[in-house]
Amino acid sequence: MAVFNVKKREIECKLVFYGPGRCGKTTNLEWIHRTFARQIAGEMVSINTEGDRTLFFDFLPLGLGKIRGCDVRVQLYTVPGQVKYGSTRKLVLKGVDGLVFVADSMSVRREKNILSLKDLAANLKSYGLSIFKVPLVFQFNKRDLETEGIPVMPVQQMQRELNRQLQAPVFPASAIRGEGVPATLKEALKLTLRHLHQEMHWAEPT
Amino acid sequence: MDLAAKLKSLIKSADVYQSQGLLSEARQHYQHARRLIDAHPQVKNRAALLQHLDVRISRLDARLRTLEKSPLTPEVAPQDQALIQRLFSFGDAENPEQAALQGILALVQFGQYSRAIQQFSVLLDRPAIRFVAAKNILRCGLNGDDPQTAVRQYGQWLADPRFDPEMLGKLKRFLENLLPQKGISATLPDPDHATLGITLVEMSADNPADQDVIDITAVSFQITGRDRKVRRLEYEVSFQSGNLISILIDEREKEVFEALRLGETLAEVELTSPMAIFKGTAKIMEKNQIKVGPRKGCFSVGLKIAGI
Repeated sequence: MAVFNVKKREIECKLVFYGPGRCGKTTNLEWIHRTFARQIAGEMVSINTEGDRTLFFDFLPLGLGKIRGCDVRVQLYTVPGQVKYGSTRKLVLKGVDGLVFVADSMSVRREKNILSLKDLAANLKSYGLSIFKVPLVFQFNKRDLETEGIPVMPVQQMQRELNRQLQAPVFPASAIRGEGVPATLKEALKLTLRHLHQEMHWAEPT
Repeated sequence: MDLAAKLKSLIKSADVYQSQGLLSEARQHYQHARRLIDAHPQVKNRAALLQHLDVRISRLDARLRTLEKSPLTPEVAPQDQALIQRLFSFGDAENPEQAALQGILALVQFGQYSRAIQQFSVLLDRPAIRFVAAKNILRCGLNGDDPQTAVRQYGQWLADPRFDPEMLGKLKRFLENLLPQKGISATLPDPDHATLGITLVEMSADNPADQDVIDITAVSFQITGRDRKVRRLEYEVSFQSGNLISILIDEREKEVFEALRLGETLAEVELTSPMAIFKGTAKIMEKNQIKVGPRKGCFSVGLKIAGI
């Protein structure tokens, strides 16, 4: 949950990248870490298994500088996507202020995307949060694989299956190339900070 | 799509899935390709292709087995454990005892049991959270690599002066409830009142020898402090029944209280009576902190006098 220090005019919030295993959550954070060097407020930490799968979480602190008179800091996290790490995923989600759901565009991962989204909704509910109310952005990742002849789901199909009710902003992406990553992050931050302003009134009036 | 193109597409897809870490999907596609080759004897280089696919499938199987066997929550590096504590402590920062507990509970939640046990053990010195810390040590022990650790730990606490019989009784029941969940059947020893504490029944025991002990008004004994210096201390006797006496130690003298180990026999004890000073020994039978009343916070120590 966000911490707003009124005296120091500082706000710190938590943005979590969620999604099925191997969908590219860590790749998103790695690209952000490489690209936004000026905003990086500390080292990126990845706690991985031997097979390079996220074991607990990835963590990347960002400093966005002054926004409307307030120093804004963001903690970016990824959850472990593998099904067996359910309890860890729930722990990492605790105190979340905004979400990026990274869906895998490959047809073979269709069912995993749906299960992961259901898992997210259930975990949020366990913390008394509604997936309809937490700021959320979809990223349909791995669009580049289409050019390699891999069956990839059309964006419209993914919209229909994942986002029909939620109606959240969607960004097609190729995280490995960085395509769609900054747009996803920017929108997620915008929605999160706007939502936090409604709750905490952290920003000075323009 | 002709057979050759279909095979090529399946194997290429499997290669990509493998590169993406999607091992099951890669395996399925290699298997699919294998079945197609099996069903079509006219495929060129059939034997070589099948062998090639078998090698890939068996490598994937080995990787999948390794992943399945990998522990859910392995111990991570100390710097990662410190980060977990920093990032996932959602406790009340205003209350230092709660904050300390919350930080360690974050380690527990991430399965870092050894480190958590180390840190909970430090909290055993804080009476206010000793019981909670002890319960968590037992829980971590049960969830760690060797669940018998918890049983052994309980056994060690039976002789630890920081635990009174009442607390040990609660810990025993707590552990007994958890053991079946881990498939462990163990008979835990009771906190032994005969050696670990005075009961009122014992204090009024009709032992003629007890009744023969004269009234003792003060007791002095030596302790070795944390600085390893030996000091002689004297306390008034607050209660006596036969050869059993109680003394009260001020809460500011916690070091003295902690230096007195339950079950230990103090040598060269000087016992002051209205008539004379006697020398003898005293076995430490009970240690408690008074929780209510005008002496709240003080420590009570029960001694059994012998060898006068």
